[in-house]
Amino acid sequence: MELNRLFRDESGQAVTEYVLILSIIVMFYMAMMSMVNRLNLGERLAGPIVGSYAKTYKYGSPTAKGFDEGTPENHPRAVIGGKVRLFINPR
Amino acid sequence: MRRKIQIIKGADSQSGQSLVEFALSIFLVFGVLFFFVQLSLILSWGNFVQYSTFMSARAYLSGGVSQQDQEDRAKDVLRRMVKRGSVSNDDRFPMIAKGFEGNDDTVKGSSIGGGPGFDPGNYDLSWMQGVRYTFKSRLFVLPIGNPGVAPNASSGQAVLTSESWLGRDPAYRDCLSVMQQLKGQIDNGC
Repeated sequence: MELNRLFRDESGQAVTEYVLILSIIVMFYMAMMSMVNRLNLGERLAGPIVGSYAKTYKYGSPTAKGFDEGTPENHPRAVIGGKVRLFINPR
Repeated sequence: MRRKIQIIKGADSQSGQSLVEFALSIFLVFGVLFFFVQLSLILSWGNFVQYSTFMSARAYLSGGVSQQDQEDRAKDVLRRMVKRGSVSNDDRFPMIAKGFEGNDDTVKGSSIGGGPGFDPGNYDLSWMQGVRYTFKSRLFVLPIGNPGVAPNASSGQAVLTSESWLGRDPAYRDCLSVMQQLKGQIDNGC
Protein backbone atom coordinates (compact mmCIF):
# COMPACT_ATOMS: atom_id res chain seq x y z
CA MET A 1 0.00 0.00 0.00
CA GLU A 2 2.84 2.32 0.83
CA LEU A 3 4.42 1.69 -2.55
CA ASN A 4 1.22 2.50 -4.36
CA ARG A 5 1.32 6.01 -3.01
CA LEU A 6 4.83 6.52 -4.29
CA PHE A 7 3.81 6.08 -7.93
CA ARG A 8 1.60 8.38 -9.96
CA ASP A 9 -0.37 7.39 -13.01
CA GLU A 10 1.97 6.94 -16.00
CA SER A 11 -0.60 6.09 -18.62
CA GLY A 12 0.30 9.13 -20.81
CA GLN A 13 4.01 8.38 -20.99
CA ALA A 14 3.85 6.32 -24.19
CA VAL A 15 1.82 8.97 -25.99
CA THR A 16 4.19 11.73 -24.90
CA GLU A 17 7.21 9.74 -26.03
CA TYR A 18 5.49 8.94 -29.29
CA VAL A 19 4.81 12.63 -29.97
CA LEU A 20 8.39 13.56 -29.08
CA ILE A 21 9.89 10.90 -31.34
CA LEU A 22 7.49 11.80 -34.14
CA SER A 23 8.50 15.45 -33.91
CA ILE A 24 12.19 14.46 -34.05
CA ILE A 25 11.56 12.29 -37.11
CA VAL A 26 9.61 15.05 -38.84
CA MET A 27 12.33 17.59 -38.06
CA PHE A 28 14.98 15.22 -39.34
CA TYR A 29 12.97 14.59 -42.51
CA MET A 30 12.49 18.31 -43.12
CA ALA A 31 16.19 18.99 -42.54
CA MET A 32 17.10 16.18 -44.92
CA MET A 33 14.72 17.44 -47.60
CA SER A 34 16.03 21.00 -47.34
CA MET A 35 19.58 19.64 -47.59
CA VAL A 36 18.59 17.62 -50.66
CA ASN A 37 17.15 20.76 -52.24
CA ARG A 38 20.15 22.89 -51.26
CA LEU A 39 22.63 20.43 -52.72
CA ASN A 40 20.47 19.97 -55.85
CA LEU A 41 20.66 16.24 -55.25
CA GLY A 42 17.53 15.64 -57.31
CA GLU A 43 18.92 17.63 -60.20
CA ARG A 44 22.23 15.78 -60.03
CA LEU A 45 20.53 12.39 -60.00
CA ALA A 46 18.07 13.30 -62.74
CA GLY A 47 20.56 15.28 -64.84
CA PRO A 48 21.81 12.46 -67.10
CA ILE A 49 18.29 11.16 -67.67
CA VAL A 50 16.80 14.55 -68.44
CA GLY A 51 19.80 15.70 -70.49
CA SER A 52 21.93 13.28 -72.46
CA TYR A 53 19.57 10.30 -72.22
CA ALA A 54 16.61 12.37 -73.46
CA LYS A 55 18.61 13.40 -76.53
CA THR A 56 19.79 9.87 -77.15
CA TYR A 57 16.21 8.64 -76.84
CA LYS A 58 14.99 11.25 -79.30
CA TYR A 59 17.81 11.52 -81.85
CA GLY A 60 20.05 8.53 -81.19
CA SER A 61 22.99 10.64 -80.07
CA PRO A 62 23.67 12.55 -76.82
CA THR A 63 25.25 15.43 -78.73
CA ALA A 64 22.47 15.85 -81.29
CA LYS A 65 20.18 18.85 -81.63
CA GLY A 66 17.05 18.97 -83.72
CA PHE A 67 14.67 21.56 -85.07
CA ASP A 68 13.08 21.80 -81.63
CA GLU A 69 16.34 23.20 -80.29
CA GLY A 70 16.81 25.65 -83.17
CA THR A 71 19.39 24.73 -85.78
CA PRO A 72 20.01 20.98 -86.07
CA GLU A 73 23.47 19.76 -85.09
CA ASN A 74 24.67 16.18 -85.30
CA HIS A 75 21.13 15.35 -86.30
CA PRO A 76 20.73 11.79 -87.58
CA ARG A 77 20.31 12.92 -91.15
CA ALA A 78 22.79 14.21 -93.67
CA VAL A 79 22.24 16.26 -96.77
CA ILE A 80 24.75 15.32 -99.44
CA GLY A 81 24.38 16.94 -102.84
CA GLY A 82 20.80 17.88 -102.21
CA LYS A 83 19.87 14.32 -101.26
CA VAL A 84 19.02 13.23 -97.77
CA ARG A 85 20.92 10.36 -96.23
CA LEU A 86 19.74 8.93 -92.94
CA PHE A 87 22.19 7.36 -90.54
CA ILE A 88 22.06 6.14 -86.99
CA ASN A 89 25.23 7.26 -85.30
CA PRO A 90 26.16 10.83 -86.26
CA ARG A 91 29.58 12.19 -85.37
CA MET B 1 5.07 -6.05 -6.80
CA ARG B 2 7.84 -7.35 -9.03
CA ARG B 3 6.77 -4.96 -11.79
CA LYS B 4 6.95 -1.96 -9.50
CA ILE B 5 10.43 -2.92 -8.43
CA GLN B 6 11.39 -3.20 -12.06
CA ILE B 7 10.08 0.33 -12.69
CA ILE B 8 12.17 1.66 -9.81
CA LYS B 9 15.27 -0.04 -11.22
CA GLY B 10 14.61 1.34 -14.68
CA ALA B 11 13.56 -0.36 -17.88
CA ASP B 12 16.19 -2.47 -19.60
CA SER B 13 14.14 -3.03 -22.73
CA GLN B 14 15.49 -1.50 -25.96
CA SER B 15 12.81 -2.85 -28.23
CA GLY B 16 11.98 0.65 -29.59
CA GLN B 17 15.50 1.37 -30.85
CA SER B 18 15.20 -0.62 -34.05
CA LEU B 19 11.85 1.00 -34.76
CA VAL B 20 13.27 4.50 -34.42
CA GLU B 21 16.31 3.67 -36.55
CA PHE B 22 14.08 2.12 -39.17
CA ALA B 23 11.87 5.22 -39.23
CA LEU B 24 14.92 7.47 -39.64
CA SER B 25 16.48 5.46 -42.43
CA ILE B 26 13.32 4.52 -44.32
CA PHE B 27 13.13 7.82 -46.22
CA LEU B 28 16.61 7.59 -47.64
CA VAL B 29 16.63 3.85 -48.35
CA PHE B 30 13.18 3.74 -49.87
CA GLY B 31 13.81 6.99 -51.75
CA VAL B 32 16.83 5.50 -53.54
CA LEU B 33 15.13 2.12 -53.98
CA PHE B 34 11.99 3.57 -55.54
CA PHE B 35 14.08 5.89 -57.73
CA PHE B 36 15.63 2.87 -59.43
CA VAL B 37 12.30 1.02 -59.60
CA GLN B 38 10.69 4.09 -61.17
CA LEU B 39 13.63 4.57 -63.54
CA SER B 40 13.31 0.96 -64.73
CA LEU B 41 9.60 1.43 -65.34
CA ILE B 42 10.24 4.66 -67.29
CA LEU B 43 12.88 3.02 -69.49
CA SER B 44 10.56 0.08 -70.18
CA TRP B 45 7.72 2.44 -71.02
CA GLY B 46 10.07 4.47 -73.23
CA ASN B 47 10.95 1.32 -75.15
CA PHE B 48 7.27 0.56 -75.64
CA VAL B 49 6.55 4.13 -76.78
CA GLN B 50 9.28 3.86 -79.44
CA TYR B 51 7.50 0.79 -80.77
CA SER B 52 4.11 2.54 -80.54
CA THR B 53 5.21 5.57 -82.56
CA PHE B 54 6.77 3.26 -85.14
CA MET B 55 3.52 1.27 -85.49
CA SER B 56 1.52 4.47 -85.67
CA ALA B 57 3.89 5.92 -88.29
CA ARG B 58 3.40 2.74 -90.35
CA ALA B 59 -0.36 3.32 -90.28
CA TYR B 60 0.23 6.92 -91.34
CA LEU B 61 2.59 5.85 -94.13
CA SER B 62 0.14 3.46 -95.79
CA GLY B 63 -1.98 4.91 -98.57
CA GLY B 64 -5.65 5.68 -97.95
CA VAL B 65 -8.64 7.58 -99.23
CA SER B 66 -7.31 10.90 -98.00
CA GLN B 67 -4.63 12.33 -95.74
CA GLN B 68 -7.25 12.70 -93.02
CA ASP B 69 -7.90 8.96 -93.26
CA GLN B 70 -4.18 8.26 -92.83
CA GLU B 71 -4.00 10.57 -89.81
CA ASP B 72 -7.07 8.98 -88.24
CA ARG B 73 -5.57 5.51 -88.61
CA ALA B 74 -2.27 6.62 -87.09
CA LYS B 75 -4.12 8.27 -84.23
CA ASP B 76 -6.18 5.15 -83.62
CA VAL B 77 -3.10 2.92 -83.46
CA LEU B 78 -1.29 5.27 -81.09
CA ARG B 79 -4.32 5.69 -78.87
CA ARG B 80 -4.85 1.94 -78.57
CA MET B 81 -1.22 1.48 -77.56
CA VAL B 82 -0.46 4.32 -75.17
CA LYS B 83 -3.93 5.20 -73.87
CA ARG B 84 -6.61 3.19 -72.13
CA GLY B 85 -8.72 1.72 -74.89
CA SER B 86 -9.80 2.86 -78.32
CA VAL B 87 -11.76 5.95 -77.30
CA SER B 88 -10.08 7.03 -74.08
CA ASN B 89 -7.56 9.84 -73.73
CA ASP B 90 -6.46 8.61 -70.28
CA ASP B 91 -2.88 7.46 -70.02
CA ARG B 92 -2.35 3.72 -69.80
CA PHE B 93 0.02 3.93 -66.83
CA PRO B 94 -0.27 7.43 -65.34
CA MET B 95 1.95 6.44 -62.41
CA ILE B 96 4.79 5.87 -64.88
CA ALA B 97 4.21 8.44 -67.62
CA LYS B 98 1.69 10.97 -68.85
CA GLY B 99 1.26 12.36 -72.34
CA PHE B 100 2.68 15.86 -72.48
CA GLU B 101 2.27 18.72 -74.97
CA GLY B 102 1.69 17.59 -78.58
CA ASN B 103 -0.59 19.04 -81.22
CA ASP B 104 -3.48 16.69 -80.80
CA ASP B 105 -5.45 16.91 -77.57
CA THR B 106 -7.54 13.84 -78.39
CA VAL B 107 -4.36 11.77 -77.90
CA LYS B 108 -2.50 13.88 -75.39
CA GLY B 109 1.22 14.08 -76.19
CA SER B 110 0.96 13.11 -79.85
CA SER B 111 1.73 15.03 -83.03
CA ILE B 112 0.84 13.33 -86.29
CA GLY B 113 1.86 14.73 -89.67
CA GLY B 114 4.68 17.09 -90.50
CA GLY B 115 7.44 17.56 -87.95
CA PRO B 116 8.97 20.84 -86.74
CA GLY B 117 11.15 21.26 -89.85
CA PHE B 118 8.79 19.71 -92.40
CA ASP B 119 8.64 21.41 -95.79
CA PRO B 120 6.92 19.43 -98.57
CA GLY B 121 8.57 21.53 -101.29
CA ASN B 122 12.09 21.12 -99.93
CA TYR B 123 13.89 17.86 -100.77
CA ASP B 124 16.03 18.18 -97.63
CA LEU B 125 13.08 18.53 -95.28
CA SER B 126 10.23 16.66 -96.91
CA TRP B 127 11.17 13.43 -95.10
CA MET B 128 10.07 14.77 -91.73
CA GLN B 129 6.57 13.32 -91.72
CA GLY B 130 5.28 10.80 -89.24
CA VAL B 131 4.42 10.48 -85.59
CA ARG B 132 5.91 11.84 -82.43
CA TYR B 133 4.83 11.28 -78.86
CA THR B 134 6.04 13.18 -75.82
CA PHE B 135 5.57 12.02 -72.25
CA LYS B 136 6.69 13.20 -68.86
CA SER B 137 7.59 10.98 -65.93
CA ARG B 138 8.19 11.58 -62.30
CA LEU B 139 11.59 10.21 -61.33
CA PHE B 140 11.28 10.44 -57.58
CA VAL B 141 8.49 8.92 -55.57
CA LEU B 142 9.53 11.01 -52.58
CA PRO B 143 8.97 14.74 -53.05
CA ILE B 144 12.51 15.67 -54.13
CA GLY B 145 12.70 18.83 -56.20
CA ASN B 146 10.35 21.77 -56.50
CA PRO B 147 6.78 20.69 -57.13
CA GLY B 148 4.66 22.90 -59.33
CA VAL B 149 7.42 24.07 -61.67
CA ALA B 150 7.94 23.00 -65.29
CA PRO B 151 9.10 19.40 -65.76
CA ASN B 152 12.88 19.37 -65.87
CA ALA B 153 15.79 18.09 -63.82
CA SER B 154 15.18 20.50 -60.94
CA SER B 155 11.57 19.39 -60.59
CA GLY B 156 12.60 15.73 -60.72
CA GLN B 157 10.69 15.00 -63.91
CA ALA B 158 11.94 13.61 -67.19
CA VAL B 159 10.43 14.60 -70.52
CA LEU B 160 11.09 12.14 -73.34
CA THR B 161 10.06 12.42 -76.98
CA SER B 162 9.82 9.51 -79.37
CA GLU B 163 9.88 10.29 -83.08
CA SER B 164 9.22 8.08 -86.06
CA TRP B 165 9.50 9.76 -89.44
CA LEU B 166 8.54 7.17 -92.02
CA GLY B 167 6.93 9.59 -94.47
CA ARG B 168 3.52 9.29 -96.11
CA ASP B 169 2.39 7.57 -99.26
CA PRO B 170 0.14 9.69 -101.53
CA ALA B 171 -3.53 9.19 -100.73
CA TYR B 172 -6.16 8.47 -103.38
CA ARG B 173 -7.31 12.11 -103.35
CA ASP B 174 -3.71 13.33 -103.69
CA CYS B 175 -3.42 11.12 -106.74
CA LEU B 176 -6.67 12.42 -108.22
CA SER B 177 -5.65 16.06 -107.78
CA VAL B 178 -2.29 15.43 -109.49
CA MET B 179 -3.87 13.49 -112.33
CA GLN B 180 -6.47 16.17 -112.91
CA GLN B 181 -3.68 18.71 -113.43
CA LEU B 182 -2.12 16.48 -116.09
CA LYS B 183 -5.41 16.71 -118.05
CA GLY B 184 -5.29 13.18 -119.37
CA GLN B 185 -1.79 13.43 -120.91
CA ILE B 186 -0.43 10.69 -118.63
CA ASP B 187 -3.28 8.98 -116.91
CA ASN B 188 -2.87 5.43 -115.69
CA GLY B 189 -5.61 5.91 -113.14
CA CYS B 190 -5.29 6.09 -109.37
